[in-house]
Amino acid sequence: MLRRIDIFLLIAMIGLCMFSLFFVYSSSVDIAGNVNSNEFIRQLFFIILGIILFILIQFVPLRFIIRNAIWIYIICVLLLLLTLMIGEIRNGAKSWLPLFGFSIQSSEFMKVATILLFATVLNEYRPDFTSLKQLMSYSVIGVFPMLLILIQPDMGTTLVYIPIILGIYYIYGYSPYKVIFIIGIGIISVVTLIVSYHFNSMDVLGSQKILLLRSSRYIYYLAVLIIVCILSLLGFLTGYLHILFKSICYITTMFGVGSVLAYVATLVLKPYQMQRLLVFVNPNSDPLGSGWHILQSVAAIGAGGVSGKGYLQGTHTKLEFLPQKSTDFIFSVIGEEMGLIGGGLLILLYMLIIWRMIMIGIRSNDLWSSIYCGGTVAMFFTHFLVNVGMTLGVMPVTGIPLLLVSYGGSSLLTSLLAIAIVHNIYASNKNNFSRVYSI
Amino acid sequence: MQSKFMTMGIIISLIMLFIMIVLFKIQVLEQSHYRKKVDQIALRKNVLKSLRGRIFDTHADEPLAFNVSAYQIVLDPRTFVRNEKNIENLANALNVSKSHITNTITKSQSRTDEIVIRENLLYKEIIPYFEQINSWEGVRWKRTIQRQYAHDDSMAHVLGYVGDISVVELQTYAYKGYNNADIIGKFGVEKQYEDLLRGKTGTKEEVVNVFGQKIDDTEQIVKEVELGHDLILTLDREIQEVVEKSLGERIGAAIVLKPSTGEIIAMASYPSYNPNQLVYSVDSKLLSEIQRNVDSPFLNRAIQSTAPPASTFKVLMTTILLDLDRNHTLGYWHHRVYCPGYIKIGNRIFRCWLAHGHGYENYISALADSCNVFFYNVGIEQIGINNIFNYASQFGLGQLSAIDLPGEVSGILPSPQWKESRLSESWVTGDTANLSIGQGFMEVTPLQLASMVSGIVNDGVIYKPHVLKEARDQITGKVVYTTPIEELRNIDVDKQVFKSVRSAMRNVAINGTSAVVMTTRAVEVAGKTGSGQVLGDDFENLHSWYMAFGPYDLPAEEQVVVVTWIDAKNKWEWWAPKAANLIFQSIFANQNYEEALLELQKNGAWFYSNL
Repeated sequence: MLRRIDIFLLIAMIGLCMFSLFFVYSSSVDIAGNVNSNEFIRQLFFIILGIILFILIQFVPLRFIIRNAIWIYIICVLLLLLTLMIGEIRNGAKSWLPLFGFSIQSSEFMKVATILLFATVLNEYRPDFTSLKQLMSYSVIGVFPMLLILIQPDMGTTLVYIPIILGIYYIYGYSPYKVIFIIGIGIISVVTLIVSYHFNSMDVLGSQKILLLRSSRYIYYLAVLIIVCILSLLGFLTGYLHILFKSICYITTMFGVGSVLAYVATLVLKPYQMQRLLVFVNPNSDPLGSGWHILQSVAAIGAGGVSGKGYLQGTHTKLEFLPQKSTDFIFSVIGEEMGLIGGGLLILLYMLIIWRMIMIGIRSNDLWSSIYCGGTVAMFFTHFLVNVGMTLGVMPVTGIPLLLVSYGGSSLLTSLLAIAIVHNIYASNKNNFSRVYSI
Repeated sequence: MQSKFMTMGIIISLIMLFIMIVLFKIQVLEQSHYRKKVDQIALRKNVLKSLRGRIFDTHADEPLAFNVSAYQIVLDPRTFVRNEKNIENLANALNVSKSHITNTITKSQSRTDEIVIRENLLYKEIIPYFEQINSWEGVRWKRTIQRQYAHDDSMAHVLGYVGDISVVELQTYAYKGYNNADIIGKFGVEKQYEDLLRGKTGTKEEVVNVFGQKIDDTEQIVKEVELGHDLILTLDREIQEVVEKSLGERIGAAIVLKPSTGEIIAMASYPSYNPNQLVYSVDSKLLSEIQRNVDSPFLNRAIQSTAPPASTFKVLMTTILLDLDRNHTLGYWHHRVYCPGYIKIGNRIFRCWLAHGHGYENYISALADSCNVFFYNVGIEQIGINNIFNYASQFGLGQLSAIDLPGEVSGILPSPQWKESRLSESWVTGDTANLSIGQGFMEVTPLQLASMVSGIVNDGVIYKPHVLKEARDQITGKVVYTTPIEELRNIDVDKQVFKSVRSAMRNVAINGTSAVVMTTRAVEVAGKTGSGQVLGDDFENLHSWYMAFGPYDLPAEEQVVVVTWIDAKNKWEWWAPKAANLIFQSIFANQNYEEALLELQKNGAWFYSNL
């Protein structure tokens, strides 16, 4: 039986599902008022299915989920492998598995499975992450599905795993310095890549390798970094000016690894991926190519103004200036038709859902629940930031959905299942909710 | 645990706040910018082309220049697959070079605009392509409007032609709203009255989606099209035909005009060109071919070619001589000169054309005999260079006749100052002698001579010559513009003098040099021939002039002035008066060329036998 209900979590969830229903429908209506697809009916079906599953999961004891986390993980990995073998290719990626008349995007379910397994394994074995060996071996749980998704290839979904894993590690107790270290490396490598491209060859986007990163100047720069790093490491070992040398070592290593990664990225990244990254920095560099979608999306949202053009009254989105407006660019439709009020309401609902998850994570009395909530928060937030950020032109175009709102059965079911488990945690821990648990 | 979640929450909240701020900035602060941008992106402006006005002759019944449907073959860059094979197939089928297609595609900057690969195809020319075109991806035909000229090379110099606007023209006339796809009048009336003919383009707006497809019911005409005006010329195509046939295949020009109004009834220039070929041509090869032709077919010799007026100038000399003695006190009216066949001025001998001389001559006989010695004499003794210059200027020689056609030249009216500045030599008596018989430095256009005769016929008034009678609305036919009859010059010469000069000219036609060839009985013609030497050439190369008016002694309103000029490049046939003879016969007997020719031959004109 349902023991207690987190009404805010449910309101936010249902509210976002309503958004989804209304605007998936709006996306299917063309400028003349004709309905061109049945996506909203399918979405309605999945919402109902998801809510039924949500309710069912409330009756499943958490113990059962924890015990079977490994099997859920294995099933999802098998689905991913199956996808790689017999999947359908859409938009150049083999991400869809045809099953029972539906196309299942198993990489979406994999995310929840990964969070579950991490929570279970970390809770069970309590590894010591100060040991590099243990850190590496436990990270396999996250890196393995990432690799499977990367070879589909679906860069966007792969990258979502990184903040999820970092979030989980952070909650588990991984040193924030190390988290910052990893995030720092990522930022430095991306910035180095973009800056070098920017100053090198704006007109030969992507088609050529980055000359600056191959030049001798860049080698000198790396050499200096390494020398400074080694010297400060020596200074650190002598124990003289301990803190100073430690921080210099920390920073130079971060820069060094980031710079080397940037160099490696020039070998690995496909031209179109590089181009998207660049266009994100300056959409006007290629206004008819990759920058087009960003410019159109921002223009559509901007034209919406405070109150929007009215439901179904959006013109820019209805004139097909945006691709995949029911999935990747659904926030543009909302922004144009409902304006700042609609967009703001959506953001508030998202904040509400994340706030409730954080609160549930805080008030749960066990590590498993905290890790699970932390991972889920990271997942929702990353999807939100990357998707909405993309439509507003502050994030690169990656094509990951806005969870709960974008059209798509897999991502919708995944989100509802993830929230269902969070709610289950909330409902299971009613006695302990006054106590704050901390490790 | 709590602090970790709190840190996470704070970071997330800050980023959420940032997103909210971005949303606020875009939707509130920059809203109007994006609204405008969105409207612009989705709004397509289409130019509604105006229909160029037609050109009619004075009868205003059948158009001389009009518009027909033509077709062009276009590529849609969005659907046409650009590969070697497709381009080669297309080139073969459309009978154009492969490089033409590749160049045209390369030149086009737009990813969505159609690329024209062949244009100005007539219906019969496009029929063979219809089926093929439908089978090709990204190739379409489109209907356009094509200018056509009813009489090919007849009247081509007056009508002119149209063509694609050039870069220079675009820069010059951009303020009038031309764009680089427009056509523009290049020559003749088409150029002169471009503004009347062209009309105004309209604008239509429609909403399009990202594929450029029009959304239904969104069309809106923002600016209505204004059709160009139809032009009614003063030209009479029947007389024009006679004039052109009379001129025949001789390099030269002929003008028929009404002195009482300045209306040009016919204006011919040979050789001519076919404007239809120019608007049809795929490239500009033909154009440059015509431009390089040594006989310059583009030259409208009636207004753009000059030659010494030769003996026709003696009419003006007679006028000056008599007017200087308008009060009959100096005796010029009865002045006699003995012509021994030559005159000695300084050390130089100036000859009359008749070697043994004409004997005693007065102004009437001297004009009739075209006696050089008489005019040398009065030119030097009685008139003098200043009077010649002043009177000739009044008659408009050496100045533009102000006809409403582009490119007119002014010729040369020499004066001591002119010679000084041009040749750095001082004026000598011999120059006056040469000028007195219309030789030397003097150069006139046929139109200038026609204007001069008009002045004589009109008792000194020269009306502005013009080819446009009026402009009418293309649909309603309402007259929107009428060329005013404008008095261009009023020459200060006694009316009695003009009367006497006209009488003397009539005498030339009856008793004088041209009497043998002016055989028409349809009308009483008064005129004067001229045989102009080309400097440095031998006697065989002469310009042949004839300027005349008729019917003699009727009021000016009924008069017609005819000037014919045959270039010295032609075989010497003394053709100018013979052509004028045909023209007068045809106009006043109301006959066509063949009938006029037959009638003249029947009446004993043996000299047309070689026709």
